[in-house]
Amino acid sequence: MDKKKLTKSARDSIRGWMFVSVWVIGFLIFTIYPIFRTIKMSFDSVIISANGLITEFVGFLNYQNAFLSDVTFTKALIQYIGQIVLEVPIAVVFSLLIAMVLSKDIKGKGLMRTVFFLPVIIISGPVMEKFTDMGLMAIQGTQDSSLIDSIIMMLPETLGTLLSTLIDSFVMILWFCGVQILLLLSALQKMDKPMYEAAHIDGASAWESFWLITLPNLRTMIVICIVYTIVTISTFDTNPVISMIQENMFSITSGMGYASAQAWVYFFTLLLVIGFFMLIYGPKKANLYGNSKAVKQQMKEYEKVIRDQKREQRKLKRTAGKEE
Amino acid sequence: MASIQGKKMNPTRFHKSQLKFYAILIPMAVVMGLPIIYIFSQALKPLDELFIYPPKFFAQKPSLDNFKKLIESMLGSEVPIYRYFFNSILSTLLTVICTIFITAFAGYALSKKDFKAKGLIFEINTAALMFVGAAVKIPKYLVIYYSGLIDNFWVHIIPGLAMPVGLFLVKQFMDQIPDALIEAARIDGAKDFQIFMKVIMPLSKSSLATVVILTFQAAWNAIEASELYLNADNMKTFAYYMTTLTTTGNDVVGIGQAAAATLIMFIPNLVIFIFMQKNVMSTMAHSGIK
Repeated sequence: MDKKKLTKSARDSIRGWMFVSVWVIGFLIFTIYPIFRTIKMSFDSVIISANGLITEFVGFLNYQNAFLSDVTFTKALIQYIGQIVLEVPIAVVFSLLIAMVLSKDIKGKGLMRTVFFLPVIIISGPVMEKFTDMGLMAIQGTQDSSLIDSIIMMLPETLGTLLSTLIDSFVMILWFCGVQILLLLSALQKMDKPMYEAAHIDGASAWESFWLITLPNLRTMIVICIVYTIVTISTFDTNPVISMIQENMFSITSGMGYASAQAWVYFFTLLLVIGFFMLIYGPKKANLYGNSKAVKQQMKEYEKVIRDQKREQRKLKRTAGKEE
Repeated sequence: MASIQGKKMNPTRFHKSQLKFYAILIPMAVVMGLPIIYIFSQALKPLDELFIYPPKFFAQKPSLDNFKKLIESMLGSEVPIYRYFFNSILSTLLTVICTIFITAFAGYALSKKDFKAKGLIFEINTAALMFVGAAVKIPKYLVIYYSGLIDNFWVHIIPGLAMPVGLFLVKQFMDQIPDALIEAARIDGAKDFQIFMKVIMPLSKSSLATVVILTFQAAWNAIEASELYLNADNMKTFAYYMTTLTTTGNDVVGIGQAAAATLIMFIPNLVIFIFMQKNVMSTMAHSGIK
């Protein structure tokens, strides 16, 4: 084919593929192919033997086992859902709080930002595991408190374990917030200062302007933060469900096939959880000026005025053109 | 990139009205900072203090005993210790350099070029971010086995090159670069590759800095390759050597060495972060915004 005859868009797409190809090849081989391989494995019974892997098709048996005969797995899943529902709001509210404080003018802001972002750099599997083992992730001083122990004893079992994991990993939750804080911070700094001033002049308290201006404006960003938090907590190495999958993978009785089935169940649970959060606090069409009815009314009026003005201008132009 | 001071981010004077903010910030910062300090104090504790119950936060009699013992057992190992260091440094360096270019190429194409399947690639990438990494261990082993990478030094480097998080960040950041700049360069006669090297790379420096940090961390701490794909001891990495110290051998002595080893493993991460910090801050701030 003659190169000159190619249209600009065709050339563009060839160049695009050229640039992306190396990455796509690596991604397909080392990420996508293994993931798809696990789909097939989840329908097999896989036994690791001296001669390599012996696979045998067993249909939905692995999935059946996961839900019907394995007590620990469903229990861990339910606990995981509880943990997410509890921890995500804490993480997001905390990030929002810190981001709002950091967006104010205070001395040492740069340093503070670094401190809050630093954990992101350190959270790598091995170090973190050591921390949890040492009990460092708990709120200091609460570990052996008899009051908390007795409260936990009084609650029903699932709630009790939830509360105790929450206490044990409180600092960890805060550690997950680095990226979210930065995202919210940047959104906050892009917000219109005059809007707050106008609200202030109209007699709105700081509290009111938080609910009516800040929150509605941050909505899209908060949604991103929620998804981000769910994904980080769920794919983290020390997550109980993940360590369970990892254990099953090399165990002789259950094996890789079962572990793959579990991984897929887990993946879909994760998507469901994200869906659930989206239902509660999903992305609505972002409205730059808040969502309150009065504001909307006002905006409509402004738009009308602007439209009228434009129409006037056009009319003027047309008449001017005719006169010439 | 202007420095933090250059942007006048920090107010120049302290004022009383700022107190209430400190009341929230400082306790939170302390809670988050404690574990980092703990790594240091743990490494400095002599053996008897490590076992005190209830544990003390700060070392009462800080000593370098743990480090001495660590060095002793390093000198006693079969493969000379510098070999592990060399492997780690070489593999980390190669991984970081290759990843930057591959990710930047892909990010540029996905952000600035128009072709079919472009959106699809990015969406699959985002979905892959969420999949359980642990579950693909065996299929990944098979891939590596069939591609002949077993017992090959490149196994440290090649599997990690296509990093989903990296592409995500870089692509989002490159979306911010105005198309007009690229068009201007093209009108001035720049070829695609020149545009990439002279316009795109310098402008996305800060998001690439983030990728550097993330890759560095992953590569420096990686033990998977040494554990699963390599048999020869002289190809394994320093991180792997550190974990063998803590898991095998004498448990009681091991704990002191482990504390020292954790600190040693942690310091490069911290140094890289401090060097790249300013750039990272601005990428993260842009990555989520359309």
